[in-house]
Amino acid sequence: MFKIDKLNVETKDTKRKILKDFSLTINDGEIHAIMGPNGVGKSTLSKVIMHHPDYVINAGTITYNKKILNDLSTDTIARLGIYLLMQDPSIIDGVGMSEALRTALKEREKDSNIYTFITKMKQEIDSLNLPKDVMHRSINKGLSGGERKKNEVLGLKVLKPSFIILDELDSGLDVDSLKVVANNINEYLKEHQDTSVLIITHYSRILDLIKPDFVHEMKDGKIIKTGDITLAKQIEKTGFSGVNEVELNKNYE
Amino acid sequence: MNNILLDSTVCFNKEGTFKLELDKDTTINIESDNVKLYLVTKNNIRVDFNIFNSATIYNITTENITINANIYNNAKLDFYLMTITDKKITNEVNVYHQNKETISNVICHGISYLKGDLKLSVNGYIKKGMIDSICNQSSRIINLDKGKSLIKPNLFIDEFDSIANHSAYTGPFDEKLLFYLETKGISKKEAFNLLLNGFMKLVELPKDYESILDSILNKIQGR
Repeated sequence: MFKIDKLNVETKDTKRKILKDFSLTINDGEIHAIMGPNGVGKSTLSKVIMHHPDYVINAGTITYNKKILNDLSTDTIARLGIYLLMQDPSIIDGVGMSEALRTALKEREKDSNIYTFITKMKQEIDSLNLPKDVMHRSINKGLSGGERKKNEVLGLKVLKPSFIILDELDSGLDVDSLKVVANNINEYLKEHQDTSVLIITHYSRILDLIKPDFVHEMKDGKIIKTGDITLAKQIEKTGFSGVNEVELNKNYE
Repeated sequence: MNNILLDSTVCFNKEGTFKLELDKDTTINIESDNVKLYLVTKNNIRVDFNIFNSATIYNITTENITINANIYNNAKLDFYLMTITDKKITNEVNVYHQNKETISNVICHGISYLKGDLKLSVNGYIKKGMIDSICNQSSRIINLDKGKSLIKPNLFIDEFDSIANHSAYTGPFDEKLLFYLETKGISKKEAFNLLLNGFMKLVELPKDYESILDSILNKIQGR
């Protein structure tokens, strides 16, 4: 189980408060989506979970399978089974994708022999419609925005996490590529049914492809509303402020 | 790969791959096409190249060096400099386009670590009349520990009908890249080593030459 309890976070440099008493519980096998307009702290949340050095936790806890993550290093958190699929994956010249993933497997003491590893890589590269030479290229070098996202999914399928954070998965992906990526993630979830997912998104279109059990609306650093997929549809129809206005009117009445 | 003992002047008039260790001032003439030269330079020397045909030259150094490359005919020079230092040193690379339609690509990567102070001066010269010449330079130095660095990229171009580009960076490894690798479960130390190797091994190098670079990089990794 993944749990965030009354988390308060600010930026290290400017001391700007980003998350305020943020709480969220995700049970094994559940898919949760967080929606919200720009600047409410959605992507920050994903970075804070991974212990990004730009943010400081002032209060509250993040726990995963009863282990407190607050003071763990980024790589330790990842090795516990948490995988962040970044909104804007970095390009790393000189470091090969296969080299990085093999190192990551070695660090997990899950390194398979080179033949098994290459076979797995080839199989996943094919299923993601990635260029065949991607495993020998520098990480994300020469790839389009959509291919970089697919490359991240390649990492996911090789490293086999148990908790996945999808940060703006649909940005930079065309309709066909989004379907390929979503199909691959759904296949993975079918094979690993205890895996939980946190989807961070502006739009509901990704939620038509990866169906969430819960949808949360986020504003001013905290969750203000929770529902099912209908909440996402309502947001898509009326916009974030529209939903809030409806909610405020209801309260007022 | 051929190891060659040198006089102060040596000439390559056959294509092939050659490895040289230089510890004194040397003049190298490259007359054949497709010469690949893997150099290790020592003792603060000066190396003058006369390039009459297309050549790719790699150089590993930990000390001061001055490179003067004269490019003739329609020759193309690809030059890779790999410098690692914990001392105060200067590397100077001067490229002279001596004929029309000559091409140079100079790529310099350096690591300045502990109390290193690496100054890199890269100068490209295209004289008037050397039309259709192309002079490119890209220089990057990563500072580790208390290491300092300075890059002086200069393009002295007197011919309008030519192309010249340069880029330069000095500073630490980008924290964003380290974070990216760490999110894959790679420890900070291993992530750093991956970035370090990727940065210095600009292209695929022959194993015996790569091992020279590795032995220098090991000093950084084990510090």
